[in-house]
Amino acid sequence: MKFKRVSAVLASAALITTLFTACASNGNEQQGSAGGTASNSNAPIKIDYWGGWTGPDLETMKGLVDKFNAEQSGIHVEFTSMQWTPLFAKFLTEMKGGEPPDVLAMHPFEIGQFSEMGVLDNKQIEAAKLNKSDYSEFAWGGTFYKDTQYAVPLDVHMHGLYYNKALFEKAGLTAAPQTGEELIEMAQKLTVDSNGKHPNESGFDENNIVQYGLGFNMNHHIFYQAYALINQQGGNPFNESMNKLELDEEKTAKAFGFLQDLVFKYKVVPKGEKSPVDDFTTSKVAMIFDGPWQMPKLETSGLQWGSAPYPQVFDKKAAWGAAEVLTFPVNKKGSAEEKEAAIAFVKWLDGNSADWAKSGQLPSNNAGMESAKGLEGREAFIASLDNAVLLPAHPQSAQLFSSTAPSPILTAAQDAILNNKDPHEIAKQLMKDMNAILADQ
Amino acid sequence: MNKQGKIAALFLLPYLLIFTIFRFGPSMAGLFVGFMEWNIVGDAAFAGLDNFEKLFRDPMFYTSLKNTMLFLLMVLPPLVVFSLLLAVLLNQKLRYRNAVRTVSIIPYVLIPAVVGIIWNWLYDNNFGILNYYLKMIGIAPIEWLTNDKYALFSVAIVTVWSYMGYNMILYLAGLQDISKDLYEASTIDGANKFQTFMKITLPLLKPITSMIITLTLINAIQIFDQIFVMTNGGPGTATLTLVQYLYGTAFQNYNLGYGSTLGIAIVVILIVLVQIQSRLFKLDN
Repeated sequence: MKFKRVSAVLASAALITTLFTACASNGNEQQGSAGGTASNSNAPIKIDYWGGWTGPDLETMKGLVDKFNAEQSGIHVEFTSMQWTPLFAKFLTEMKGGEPPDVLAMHPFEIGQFSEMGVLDNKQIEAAKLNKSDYSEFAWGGTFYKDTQYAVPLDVHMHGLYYNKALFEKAGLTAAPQTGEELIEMAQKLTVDSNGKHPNESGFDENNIVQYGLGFNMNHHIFYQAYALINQQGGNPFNESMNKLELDEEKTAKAFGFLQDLVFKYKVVPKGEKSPVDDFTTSKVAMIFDGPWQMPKLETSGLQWGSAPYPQVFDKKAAWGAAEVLTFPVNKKGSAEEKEAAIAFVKWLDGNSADWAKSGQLPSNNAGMESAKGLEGREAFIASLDNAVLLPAHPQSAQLFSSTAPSPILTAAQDAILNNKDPHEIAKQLMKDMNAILADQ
Repeated sequence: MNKQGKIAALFLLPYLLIFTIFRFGPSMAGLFVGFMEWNIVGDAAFAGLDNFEKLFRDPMFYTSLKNTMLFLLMVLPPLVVFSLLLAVLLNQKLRYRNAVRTVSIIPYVLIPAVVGIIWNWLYDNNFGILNYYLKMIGIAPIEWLTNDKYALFSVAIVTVWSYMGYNMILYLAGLQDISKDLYEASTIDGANKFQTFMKITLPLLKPITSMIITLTLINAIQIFDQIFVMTNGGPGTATLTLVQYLYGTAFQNYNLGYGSTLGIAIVVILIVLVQIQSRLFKLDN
């Protein structure tokens, strides 16, 4: 009997461990250049730099780090990149163990949570002596939380529209849509069934569509689009200090309703689309809403493509925007030399951000942005900079705007675009779910 | 302890050390953290039974529990029945038997994330091969992973596909362990093939069936990888399972205390289910 009890305890212990190790092992860690450590006074100062890039942009960032390491001998940067979620879990664990990285990349909406945890060092930002005039206002604004600057701007990105030039020409279209009406009209012309009919023609067979007019991600990016469309109607319901959300039900319902209609009423968007960019590069959809990070893929696809700003559907222009920033984690064990080296590296990255533009991301630095203008397709995204809207750096942003279930924004997005629920009910549920999180502080 | 015992203990020592350091110790710590409020970085604060109280009034816990139980019910019967039928079939003298056995185990060998990606392509609503064939025979396409009514079932199909080969191998080993004399005796006694299967094969495979049910229970309750890759818990929360919820709580929201409480709840659920299963399958010698 005693043995049975002991076995049960051991089995329970093993099960808990299995669960945690199964979860924690997710993520694809990739190490950049390995190098020497500062073992004597002549050795370079070693600093750790962590980021969450796993796509083609990872190679661009690795190239930049290697370039920095090759250009000088005083500092050696060890670069580590993995998916964002395991990256931050690793960061907090290392922080607890007293060995955080010297430089950590993140997004503006994460700054609130991490600064509330007390893990970000704003003194190093002061020491970096950044000039506001060197950056776009959008990028600069994304580095602050409660009026204190916690980050150095790295890049910005926003939703825009990509279109297939060959399919446009075939449909007799000459320019990308700029308004909601134009978008619907063009998307209908570009949506074709197996008999060559369009959705606005009688006899159109919605079960045998061979080419769709428009595609977009059916995940949290639906919410990002709805967020832009709410802003297009005037007013941003979210801010970094909210403890109760007041959502304008009418505006929210109109925003989700517009996106819903594209799928269910106008039938110009594939239901439950999984990979819009792949559908676009294989000419199964003629236009997609996506971010500038897709440009390296499009550049190598052989497709003739163009880009345009996110259309103005309501009263004013607005597009969802986000950014990547560089922070300095608090490190009590870190020496003054290491901290100076971290600042020097970040300033070097800032000064070489034109190279980072090759990853598709738009440099936050004005000089880098000017260089990006010369690269194909960037102009349309840059034109959206003045009306791009960021999600706030609220301390509970990770939960409020989570991209994986359970997430209020994912539920709202998928109820709209997959389940075709009443947009007013979606708006009410979104407010209820977000307020439940805000009340649990 | 005699010399043989000492040698045995010496052989066991490295494993026991590793088990204590990397499994038992962290597990005990996990149990302890379940009673704390802790965000990894700050100091942990004792929360008493607050996390457990929260668990009982947390609608998302019940949603994930319901989804996990539904998932278990979807995968358990086919993983036992189909694996057994496949094993019986492949135990016959058939042409290409070894090739079919090998092919059957391949899905199990594949990494769950890869399986998820492959099935994502197959399940694609608009350009996936499954809907392509459905359209060819005049059936409207199915929103496999994007409709909250079908998503969990679609993931269950993938899990059955993945694990069936492994269970088949276990059954095959069991079948080959059954003495041929028993079958010969039953033939002499005039039993037909169905009677032989029901009176000899099935009862003698009871230990294997019990083991397969236990393993399926554990794997189904711990389902994570495929869901993470294929649906990420969506649409909405239609495929949110207990471990997916634990992952989000502990590693996305950094609520280690409540995440550990969820871990404890999962272990308790597993122990209860395995206990029920072993009572139902009480084996006699």
